Formats: sequence, structure tokens, C-alpha cells
Amino acid sequence: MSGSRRQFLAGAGVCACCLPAFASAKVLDTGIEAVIGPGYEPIDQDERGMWQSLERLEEAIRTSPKRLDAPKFDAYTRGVVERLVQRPVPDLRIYVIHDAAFNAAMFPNGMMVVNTGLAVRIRNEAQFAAVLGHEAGHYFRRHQITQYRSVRRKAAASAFFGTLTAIAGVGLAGSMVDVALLSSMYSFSRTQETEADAFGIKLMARANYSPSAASEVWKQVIEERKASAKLNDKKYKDASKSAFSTHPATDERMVDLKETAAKLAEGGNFSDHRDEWVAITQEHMPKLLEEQINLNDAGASLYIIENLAQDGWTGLLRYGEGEIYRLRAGEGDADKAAAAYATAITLPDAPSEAWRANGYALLKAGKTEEGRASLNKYLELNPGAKDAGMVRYTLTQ
Amino acid sequence: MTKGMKTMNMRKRIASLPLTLLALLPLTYMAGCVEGYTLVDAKQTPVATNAYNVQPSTAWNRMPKYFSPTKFEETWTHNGPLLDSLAFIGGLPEGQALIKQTKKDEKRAPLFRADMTPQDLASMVEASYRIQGITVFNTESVDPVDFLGGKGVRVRYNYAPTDGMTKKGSAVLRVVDKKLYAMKLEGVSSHYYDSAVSEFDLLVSTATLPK
Repeated sequence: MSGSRRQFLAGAGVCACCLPAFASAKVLDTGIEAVIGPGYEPIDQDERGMWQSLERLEEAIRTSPKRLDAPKFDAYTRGVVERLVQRPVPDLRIYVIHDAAFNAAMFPNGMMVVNTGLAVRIRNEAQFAAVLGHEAGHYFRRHQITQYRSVRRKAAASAFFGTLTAIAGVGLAGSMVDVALLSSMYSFSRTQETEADAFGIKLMARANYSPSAASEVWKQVIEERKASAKLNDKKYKDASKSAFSTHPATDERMVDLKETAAKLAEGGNFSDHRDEWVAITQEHMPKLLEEQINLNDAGASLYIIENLAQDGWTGLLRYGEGEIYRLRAGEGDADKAAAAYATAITLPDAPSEAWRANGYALLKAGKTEEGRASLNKYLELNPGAKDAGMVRYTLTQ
Repeated sequence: MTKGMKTMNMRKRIASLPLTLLALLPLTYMAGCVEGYTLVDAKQTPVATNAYNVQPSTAWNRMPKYFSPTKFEETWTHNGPLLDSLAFIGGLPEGQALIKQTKKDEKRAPLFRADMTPQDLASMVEASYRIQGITVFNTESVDPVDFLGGKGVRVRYNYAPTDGMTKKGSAVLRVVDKKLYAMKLEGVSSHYYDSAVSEFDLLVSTATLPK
């Protein structure tokens, strides 16, 4: 995908992981309504131009090798959106993209992009609905066209800053200006983000999704970032609090959504629909976790695993925990990995790879017989494994 | 133009020549510093700072050092790095990564350790790609392979680069005297990888450590 497309996606998707800056918690105005109906078509020249640009972007996404071909998940996502808006959404087209970043975006021509990095962090359907409801807010309130016109006005400013920084030859300062401009050009305003939050949480409550799931999502985002920063000896910093940010600060957003959810939840009968979420995502979870874990950001990955494990440890999660420690390979990590693998294989849903990892951990610890037994079990469970040749060779040594 | 004017113009040009040459001098100097591609003949050749020898059957182009992420790596190509590349890693010591990193990076490249299992070596290859922004990486197989007089690990994989067409790759790794020795071929899936892989196999099987 080209740089510009990536930036556009990143900017548009920032709404799912960014942030406004208001001083104290407030209950959001949930009285707002959709301004477009089914079968909406662009009206004026600006909007038609934007749709044409999006057609090119969509074609690139449709044929991208980064697309996860998951028709069941696409259909499920459509179902969640339809439940939220309480009507069929025939124009909606869903694309799941392999990208470990927490992100999703809904575009005005009906294209919706969901990152695998979003799916791996979500605990239940209500949390998924919180993100989709927010994105639907941008779509049904026609935020994009407003922002598109703003972009066109800022194009001249972009050229100005580009020339200025080129003359000055200040690379770092130059990229800072670019990033700031791009984020303001391709993302929504703070007001729009707040409005999308309000619209989304209203849809959630109406569809009987626990409205508190929206603030839970942001809580997870904040805690994951803090966990990552802590293990990297860094100070957690909310980038959305910068003067350049177009988004509400994450913590303030979380508090506002929590306050609003408390009001909406009065007397309601809500559910998080976790079983439905687990049923639809479980076939993809091994790959999604692998994508995250192999980034070797141990703080973030451990947080994600432990957060998911609040609903109960599974063999897959324990195996994932072991993989995080094995890959980090810091002091004491080999023992932690070995312990996690040893637990994983006692759980009924452990992936076959847990037996392989357990086997190698035991061999490293000098427990040859147990290690060989575990590797043999791996081959028994998965005789056609991609690394069966290497494991068989190990067993001959 | 009169003859006198022509003469004057010529004099001006001659007078300004030293200044022009002076202005061009730094460029010439800089060009001399810029390392270019060099030809590798089809004969026994030491690679990765003489870490081991290989015997190519065709000529290759040795890429400038700035293409290599560490000083332990040397890279060749047939058709340019966007289409194919062949890397040799020689004597990577413990505690070093396959890729360059800064202290600020949150995603940490796995560090080589002499006690890495085949599973660890395969993970190190995958993580090195993912950390650099590759979101689609598929391991196709992990097998034993003869390399540098002993048994190493061969990982076959494919991945979607951040820009461009899907690539296929093969990495062969072996730990010798607590150091990592490796070879890696990658090329665009359609044509370029397949046309180079038999040469890669030959290079792997004939690679020798210096006596």
C-alpha cells in the first residue's frame, strides 16, 4: 500500500485510538440523530470527488495481500452494525486487514476497514460494537465531507510547510509538521470525535449492548500503552494531549464515556455477547496473537493476553504468554516461558505448538526424556506441521 | 555579436573556470566517497568479512555496505534489491540482532543467543520482519539443512512487503562456535525468487568456513 494511502488510513483510523482535551468528565449529548439514510449517494462535486478517490483506495484494499479473507467475520461485523443502526446496511463493505495496530475506520462510500490488531484486543461483542458504533457515528453524521473540505483548504498550507522545511533542511522538524498536518487533514476534529462517541454509545444502549463497554475499550488502550512504556523504561505519554492533536485525550474520553454509560444504563437490560464474539473469532485468534506477539513488545503483548484472560485462561492464551517470554529472552524469561507452556498443555484447547514449545523448553532445561515426549506429542497431534522435518531431526539427536 | 564581444565572453568564461572547478571539487570528492556496486565473479569468494567462502555459478552484484543492516552482513543481487537479494551473515556474536535498532524502539528485535533452538531461530527470522512493519508473514517450512560442515536450520517463508509485490524467502542459519552464520535469499514471488533459488541451494551446500 502506498505511503499516502497508509497515511490516509492511519489518519482516518486514528479515531479508534486517539483522543479531545476537556477538563472534566461530562455526560455526552446522546440526542443526536443520523443525517443520512439507506442508499445514500454523494450530492455535490466535492463529495463525488471524495468518493472517486475512495474507489481507488478501496480497489487497492480489496486486492491487497494484507487482506484477511474471512467472510464469516465480515458477515458477523455487518450483523453488529445492523443491530446498532437497527436496519439493513446494504452499502456496507467490510475489509479486515492484517495490521497489528488497534484501528478501524468507516468511510463515506460504505467501505469499512477493521485491523486484525483491533480484533485481538477485544474481549466481547459489546466492545466491538463500541468501536463500530463510533465509526458509524462519523459515517451517519457525514463527518468526512466536512473534513474533506477542510483538507482542501489545508493543501496550500502543506505546500508552504513542505517548501519551508526543505529550505531549512531540518528533517525532524519537517516530519513533525507533516505528521501534524496529515493528522489534521485526514482525521476528524475533536468535536466530531466527541459527537461520534456520543452517537456510538447511544446506538449501543439502544441495541442492548452494555454501554460501559465503550469506556472499557479506552481503559484497555491506556493500560496497554502504560504497560508497554513501563517495560521499555519509558514514561507513558498521551500523544493526543499535544497541541497538534485533533482528538480528545484518551483518559478524558474514557471518563466521559463512563459517565454517559452510567446514565444510559439506568434501568436497562444489557449484555456483552461474549459467546458470540468468541465463536466467530476463535479460528483467527492463533494468527492474530502471533502477529502481535512477534512484534516483541512484551509490555503490550502481556497486557493484551492478561486482559483477555480476565474471561478465563485458555491453552492458547497460556501458550501466547510463553511465546512472549521466549521471544523477549530476558533474565528469568526462559523459566517463565517453560512454566506457561507446561500449564498450556494441561488445558483442553492448547494448540499443538504448545507441545513443541514445551518440548524445546524441557530439552533446554536438560529434561531430555520429558522434552522428547512433548515433541513426539506435537508430531502426533500435527504430523503435517510446517516444521515437522526439523522437529524429527531434533528427535534423532 | 561582434568579434570583440565574442572574445570578451570567452575571456569571462575562462576567468570563471577555476571558480566552476572549485565548486565542482566537493562533488567529485563526495562521489569518490560513495560506495557503488561491485561485480562478483563466478568463482570461490569470501563473504561477510571473510567469515566464510561461497562458490557462485554465475556472476552477482555486491551491493554497497549501507544496504546491510549490520557490519556482519554482506548483500548481493542479480536484478536489484527490489526484485531479489542474497544476504550473507557471518559471525554474528551473542547479544546482537539481525536488524538495526535504536534504544527507543518499543518493538525489540530478538537478540541472538548461542543456545537458540531451531524454533528460536525461526522466530528470530519472523520477528525481524514483523518489527520492520511486515504484517503478513507466513512460514512455509522449517527443515534441517547441511551448511558450513554441519546441520543448520532452513526456514522457507513468504511475506507482503509494505510496498510492492509479495516476496518469497529462504533463510539458512547455523550456530558455530557461539556465533551465527546465515544466508538469506528473498525475491519477488513471481519469477525472481524461483529463478534464484537453485543458485541459493548450491551456495548453501558449497559454503565453507576458512581453514
